[in-house]
Amino acid sequence: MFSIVSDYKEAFKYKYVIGSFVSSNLKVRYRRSVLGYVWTVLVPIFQYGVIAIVLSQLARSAAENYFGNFFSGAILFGFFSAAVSKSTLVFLSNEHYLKKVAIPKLVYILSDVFYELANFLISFVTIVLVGTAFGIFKVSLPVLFVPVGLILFVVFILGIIKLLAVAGVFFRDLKYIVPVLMQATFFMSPIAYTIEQMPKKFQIIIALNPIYYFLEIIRRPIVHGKMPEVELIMICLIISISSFLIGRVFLKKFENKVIFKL
Amino acid sequence: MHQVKVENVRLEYLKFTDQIYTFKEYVTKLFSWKTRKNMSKVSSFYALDGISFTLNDGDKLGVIGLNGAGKSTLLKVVCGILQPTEGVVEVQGNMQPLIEVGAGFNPEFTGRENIYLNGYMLGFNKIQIQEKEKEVIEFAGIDDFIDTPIKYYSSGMVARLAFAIATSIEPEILVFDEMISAGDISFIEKAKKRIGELLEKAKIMIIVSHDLTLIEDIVDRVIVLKNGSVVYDGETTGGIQYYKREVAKVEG
Repeated sequence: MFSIVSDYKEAFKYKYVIGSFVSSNLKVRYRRSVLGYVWTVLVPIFQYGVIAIVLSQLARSAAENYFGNFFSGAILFGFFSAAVSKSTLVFLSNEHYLKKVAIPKLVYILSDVFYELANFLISFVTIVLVGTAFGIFKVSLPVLFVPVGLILFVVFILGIIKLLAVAGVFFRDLKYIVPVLMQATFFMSPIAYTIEQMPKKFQIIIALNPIYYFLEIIRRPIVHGKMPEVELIMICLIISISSFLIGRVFLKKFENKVIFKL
Repeated sequence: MHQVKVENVRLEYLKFTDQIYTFKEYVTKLFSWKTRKNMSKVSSFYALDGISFTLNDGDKLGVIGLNGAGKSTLLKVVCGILQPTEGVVEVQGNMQPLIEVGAGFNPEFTGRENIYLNGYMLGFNKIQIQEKEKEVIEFAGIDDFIDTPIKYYSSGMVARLAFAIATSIEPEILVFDEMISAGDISFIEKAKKRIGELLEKAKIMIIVSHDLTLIEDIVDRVIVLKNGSVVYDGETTGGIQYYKREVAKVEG
């Protein structure tokens, strides 16, 4: 337990490295584009908007507040997918640093996570505000719970990334497998549909998908204007911590071997 | 007090083969116990095998040996880039590795961004880097290009910037691998002078070099490495002679 704290203490000694990675990468991303950061918001709106308009016309998907459900799910999943798809390459793409500078491997992982988190937050906050103006989201008191939900989500993602970052070095095929799995996960998560619309046996499969719970914990406040139930919070907490611990065990066990396999 | 303590350090170097099995081969091999055992085995050797030394204030150590003897690996272990498989490395004092110039450069970032990124990686804060920033840019002579991404730099400019960053910090413990010579003649002169200054100021120094005259000039203790083990540890002239006679087998 204490060693987890000291791991993070050690990594946060390099907080400026993380900050500099994140800010420089954000600058590089939109360098010389006319609209710049606006694209962070426009791209998901157009991308998800088209899908949502088409799907909402299907009779079966005509659920209540389809757009609110779809946008909140799609944007959260987009964050998960972007962070996890890149994770197999964290060490491979930082090879030149790893072989020459002695900083904890966690720093590279955190840099990637925070970079994706920054991108996500820009689009998430804007879309929630715009969505509220159009009446598909609700900004009321329970919204204060959203940061807690997001922290749980990030901790969950962090565990997966640690695992995949190490695994990606040893099994290079993962770099192709993970994006394919992401697409499957998208359709296995209640984003384009709600869990109630599915037949009973599919509901069980969805219930086994951890992402479902994180989508719900954040949808409760912003889509339904309610606080999440205590059971839901507990489930998310357990999933987050388990994922985090598994990721940590893997990273600790293999981080010193990574450098030989790059 | 500054100290570098290396105790019984062994480093197992894992050698991974890049042999890739086709799926058919992989499956057939899975069913044969013998090849299955071979498949998962990663060959390894000890790049460093039981190395110990202690350096205190004022000590200047030179490490010599043939190519592949483990010199650079030893420096990487001392700096913490590689973790020893067995043994302990303890360092007291701020350490600056000059192992490879341009260590932490990202070609997409501007010169200035790279200065900061590098400085942060070496454990400096924003104010400390701001103090050095101007001097680094001046020394590298890339004033006009400092806010341009490094990928547009000429190779000489990159090398000069890298050198300027790496040597802008005056560490208490200097770990120094042979530096590449970069830039035109006037820059090489400047660079040599600067290294001289760094060497003078460092409290403890570890140098790896094939340049035996340089070693003889600077250090007062020599370690000769052969296949990852120390075969000589002692006074400089004796070490160099031993190296020439016993390891490199050259006359004179």
